[in-house]
Amino acid sequence: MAFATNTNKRVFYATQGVTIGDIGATSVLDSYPGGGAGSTINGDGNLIIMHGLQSIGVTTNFNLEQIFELGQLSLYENFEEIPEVEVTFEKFLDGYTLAYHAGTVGAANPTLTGRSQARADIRMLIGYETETDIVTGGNNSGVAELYCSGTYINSVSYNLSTDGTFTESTTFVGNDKQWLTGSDTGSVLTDGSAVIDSAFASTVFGNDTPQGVGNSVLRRQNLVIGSVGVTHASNAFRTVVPDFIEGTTTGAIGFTGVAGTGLSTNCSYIPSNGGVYLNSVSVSTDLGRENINQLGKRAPYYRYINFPVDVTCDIEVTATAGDNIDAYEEGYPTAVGGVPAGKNLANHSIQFVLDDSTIIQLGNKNKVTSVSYGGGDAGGGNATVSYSMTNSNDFVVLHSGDPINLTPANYFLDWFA
Amino acid sequence: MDKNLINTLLSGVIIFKLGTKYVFMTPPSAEEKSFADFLSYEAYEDSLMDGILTQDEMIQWITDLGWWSKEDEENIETYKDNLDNMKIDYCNNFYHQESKKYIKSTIEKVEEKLRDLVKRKNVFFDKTCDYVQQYCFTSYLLEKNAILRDGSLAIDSFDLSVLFNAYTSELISVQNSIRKTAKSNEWRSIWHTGKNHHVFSNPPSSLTDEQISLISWSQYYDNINQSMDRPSDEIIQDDLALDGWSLKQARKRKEEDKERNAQSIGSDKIQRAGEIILPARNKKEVEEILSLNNAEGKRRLKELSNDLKSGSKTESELTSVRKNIQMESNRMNMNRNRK
Repeated sequence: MAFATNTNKRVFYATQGVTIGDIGATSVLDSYPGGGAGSTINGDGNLIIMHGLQSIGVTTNFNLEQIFELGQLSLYENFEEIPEVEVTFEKFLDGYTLAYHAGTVGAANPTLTGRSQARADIRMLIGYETETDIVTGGNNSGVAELYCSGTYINSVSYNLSTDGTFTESTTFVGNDKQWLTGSDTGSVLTDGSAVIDSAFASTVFGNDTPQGVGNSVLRRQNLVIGSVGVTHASNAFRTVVPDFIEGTTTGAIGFTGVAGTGLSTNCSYIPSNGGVYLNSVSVSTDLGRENINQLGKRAPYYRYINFPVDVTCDIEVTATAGDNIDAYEEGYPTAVGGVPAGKNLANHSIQFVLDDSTIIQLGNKNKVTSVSYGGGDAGGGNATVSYSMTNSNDFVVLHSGDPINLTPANYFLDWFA
Repeated sequence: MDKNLINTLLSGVIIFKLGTKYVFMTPPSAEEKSFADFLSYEAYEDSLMDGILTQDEMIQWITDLGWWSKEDEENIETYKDNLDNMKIDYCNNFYHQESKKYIKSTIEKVEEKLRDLVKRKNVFFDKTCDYVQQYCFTSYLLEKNAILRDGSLAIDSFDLSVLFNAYTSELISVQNSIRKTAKSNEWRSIWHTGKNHHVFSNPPSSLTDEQISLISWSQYYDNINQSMDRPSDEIIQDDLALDGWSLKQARKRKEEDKERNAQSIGSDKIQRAGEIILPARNKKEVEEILSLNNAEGKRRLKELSNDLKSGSKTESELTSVRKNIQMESNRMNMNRNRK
């Protein structure tokens, strides 16, 4: 039976330094500021300092199994299984390295399968003893390093809304959680004298500012619309959405590069002179990791992703007409647009491009799972149309600060070509 | 038999006797109080110019002389905290006569100690600018509003200091009876009858401090009686117990506010997490974040601090986690035995 040892008894901690990085990393690297032309960094062996964090949630579950024997009323053994640790990060998109990327250092490539095997160490500085802040260059005897080793990314979501800052939410799962004191030799963020790593001094403890365009966090104006897009490593990337949305035009190409074109299935640009009015976009995937155990070891050998996984994309637009989704019980009698005869739905390419170099590619096989037309009430509310789309396994997120060991030319691509 | 002060408070007129003459201190108008403020501030400034110390400077002076100390100051706060805790204990043990009696006697002793300390702290208050200001304010009002039965000004018949002492002495006895009056049935019926009207003889702009205090206490008792968690009549009648009950409610409300604030942080996933870690950039933010912890959270932080004194720990080595595992194990065992 699993039970959380810390739920319902919530504790709030203050942290002044959070890193996510390569498993077994022993050095600290500041997040790479994006926003420029496409580039990548090599994060191998490094913990990446996170910026723009809003909150972190840690839940630890212990699994107990009571074992009894015939003839004895009291417990034979209260067997304690391996603990489950879940760490959730919520972060503003701010031009700095994404938590998803920092947690998949060493990934073979940016696809879901490419990132699936990467494991991450999470380390954060937490003051537990006094209500004083953590100082750089001095002794921090009341500071512990919360260390979760060998975690796997388990869920990722991005929320782009018109009325707030763009956010990233990531959840990592693992089986290891330790509280290291400042003088512990296993500490990475502090040395043997509890002095904070100097990499923090010029960043989070210094005059830290977002690295989005105009030194700002990303908001609604940072979604790139129009047919020009942005260029990274000589390839052009444009935001494309399904072409059934009112105001769109068919025949758009989301990717143009030396290797050809792509992301062009039944999709449209968002005209920069109006016509399509996106309200919010939410992209998420839950990897639902499962353990593979082995004889001779208590810890799982691997926590695999049970492919296929669903990748969902919810797009809400301000209604300027209907939802343009027809539903026939026998499907369309003849092929219409991209929809073949006998079907109601077509495949669509989706890509969201942000001006800090974040690119979210959802491939070419996104289909509508539901559509709802709401709002427009008597109180004067605007009518909105919400489309829920899904695909399987197609989820690529690119960013200049990705600590992946790939050259920009091999990274800023159409990964669904 | 105690003096009935309801009419005194309704009229706002404080009556005291000097020799064979009755003196009526009528409620001053807002204009008179305004001028008294002006005059008293002038007196304060003048005395400051004359080199008289302010109360803060006086405390510093007696501290320098060793007659007062930082420890004494801390003791005042400690006594106040202890009194609050004891009042809560008194309320909690209200129906255990022996404990109640014991706590009450302890409260009286601590109150006595607190009174002594405060008295010592203010031993030279009457030599300060602040006292001059107070004296000037009251004296002016006495000169203008203290009258005899024949309508003549009392200041024409008595020395100001005599008037001042007799008035303040009577005033203290009125002030000490306000709470008792506020909860008396006689006053409550007047209060409720005139709730939407003005029950006092004098206009709202010239209400005396005692009348305002009576209104506050009356509203306090109204709120207690309307509370969803209303205490028993016996507790309401016992000032100590009711203070304890109010303190308990205030602390409960503070915890609930904290919980509510904490619950609104982050997404559903974060809200469900057992440990929430929030980034802080400076000491103030660290304090604000740590203050979100309720009593249980604070206890766990303390346990973590104790655990880490002996070096690094894995999660399962933490005291709070071991306790939880043990409690869960016991619970599972209990459930099994019930089957």
